[in-house]
Amino acid sequence: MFILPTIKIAFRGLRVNKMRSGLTMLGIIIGVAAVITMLAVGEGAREYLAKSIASLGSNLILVIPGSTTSGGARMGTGNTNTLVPSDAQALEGESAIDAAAPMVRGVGQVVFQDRNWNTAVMGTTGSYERIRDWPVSEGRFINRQDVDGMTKDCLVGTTVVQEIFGDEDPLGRIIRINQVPFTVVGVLQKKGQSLMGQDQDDIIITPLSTAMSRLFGKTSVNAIMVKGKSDSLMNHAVEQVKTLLRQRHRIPEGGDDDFSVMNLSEMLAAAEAQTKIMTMLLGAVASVSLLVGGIGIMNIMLVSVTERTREIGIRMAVGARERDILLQFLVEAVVLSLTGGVIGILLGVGFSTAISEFSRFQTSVSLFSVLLSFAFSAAVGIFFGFYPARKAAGMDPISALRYE
Amino acid sequence: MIEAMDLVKEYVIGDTTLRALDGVNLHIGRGEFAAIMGPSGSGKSTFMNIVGCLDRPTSGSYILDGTPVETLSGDALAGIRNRMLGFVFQGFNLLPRTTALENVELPMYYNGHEEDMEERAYAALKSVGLSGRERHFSSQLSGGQQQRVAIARALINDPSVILADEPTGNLDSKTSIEIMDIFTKLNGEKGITIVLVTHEPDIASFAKRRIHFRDGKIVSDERTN
Repeated sequence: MFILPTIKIAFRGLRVNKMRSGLTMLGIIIGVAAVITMLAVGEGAREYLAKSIASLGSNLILVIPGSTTSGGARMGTGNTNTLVPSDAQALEGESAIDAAAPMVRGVGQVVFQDRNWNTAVMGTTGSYERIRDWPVSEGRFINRQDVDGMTKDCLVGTTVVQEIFGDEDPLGRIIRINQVPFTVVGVLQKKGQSLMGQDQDDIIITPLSTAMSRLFGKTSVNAIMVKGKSDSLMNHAVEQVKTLLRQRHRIPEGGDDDFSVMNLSEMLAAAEAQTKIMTMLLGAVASVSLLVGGIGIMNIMLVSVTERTREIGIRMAVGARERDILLQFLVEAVVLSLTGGVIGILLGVGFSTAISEFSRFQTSVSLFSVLLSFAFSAAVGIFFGFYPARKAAGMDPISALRYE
Repeated sequence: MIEAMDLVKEYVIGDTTLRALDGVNLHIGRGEFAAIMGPSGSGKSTFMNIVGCLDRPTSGSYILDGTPVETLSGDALAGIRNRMLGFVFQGFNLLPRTTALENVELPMYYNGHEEDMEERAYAALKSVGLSGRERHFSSQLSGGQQQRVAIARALINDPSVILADEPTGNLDSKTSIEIMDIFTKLNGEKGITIVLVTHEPDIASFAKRRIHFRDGKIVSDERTN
């Protein structure tokens, strides 16, 4: 028997019992839709993370002032003033370190003509551009002369441009930050949201020296961002940061660090690994329902084989060979599971789109998950359809014909 | 056409052996119309199953149209059932929820006759007087009409032998005569060999030869012209 008529026969068999076929398929539909949706949620989270990581920059180490002990009382992280701009300068001389940028952060009220806006203000050096991989779209970045000469030049993020300049060209304009006039020398490229959901473009960057003395009146920095030379040198870079800073801060052997070093790349890699595990878990849980759907198919096919014993006898009497019968029931099971699979895929894509549309979760249906589900449902049909089909094919035609 | 030599069929039930056929010798020639009669348990159904290639004898040999059947594989037997034999049963044995046309087409699915399947099925239904009911489901047809569909199905692959197992058992006498007329016509006009199992003497009288079975043996074999 050729495969095409077999498929025709199978479809006819399923159409004859629409309700039952539909319910059997429902198991597969739900299973596949669940797998697709869960993988889409996981994949969406992974993509979001990957995008955030890309926007942060690569091979990053963050150094922040650490806990110190003064008079027996240990202070919390970030409360001390141990990091100074020259620490960053010194770090740039280390072999595993590509660049280091000191940062002071604060908020400022920005005024331009009749408009004003409250935004984040950060003082840093020219290295920051390289570390964050964050060039300007117009004008120039802050350079060494700005920092050394304590110029009142500044860079603005795209959100700030939108809020206080509107359609005007910001380059060369004078704005006031906390009453201090600054000249806009560059506009930063759009960076988007950070991993924490903050708008990274709502920022003004000034030379480190100007921010420290004119804006915030500080002698220490909030953090130093360090970029390692390469992925493989990261552990080495962390070591160099620690050793050098201990030396510079004159911490005796055995004393506690007065700073903390965080390997951001490592943390992000860990977060990515977690997302992957979450995706796998979600997929595994969802595929259990697919398995249950497969058992449903086997159950119904067994019932169907028993119920159609006489039909099997008739087919054998008119010349069906064992393999014709086997193929017929196997194809029926596969048609059931594949039709269910296709409907499930459509439904899963629909669910994923709805989730992205109506919640803050991003989802992404990958071609891989679609192919996987399709192949998996075909496999479920073959696997769970084989036993009932073999049972049908092995029937004795005489007793099958007499079956009541 | 049908040549049975010393056919024996034994069934083992528990620790007793039941001998359903006890050395049957029978020759039915091409174009014969034979009725097989006998009480239930006489072995006539067992004999028909073997003749119909649905079962194999325990010993003895059965030659169908020159082919020693008892040596063939299951697939080869299926092929013989498909091409050389046509079955008509007491209970009609049509596929439920399937149209008359599709029932008649069924045997052609198993031998690759695809191109002209529908025309042939139409022609077969016409030859048994069922034109116009091709799209009726079997449940929408009367018993006589269902049996006609079954005969059309048996005829579709131009068999040399039609095996009819109590074909009128579920029909009233008027319809029975109509069905038997079809068999007579097929035998007379197309020269198809017909082997008929029945226990009704007036149905058997349509056949030109009547063979009586009892206790697994042939007890009488008479011919009329």
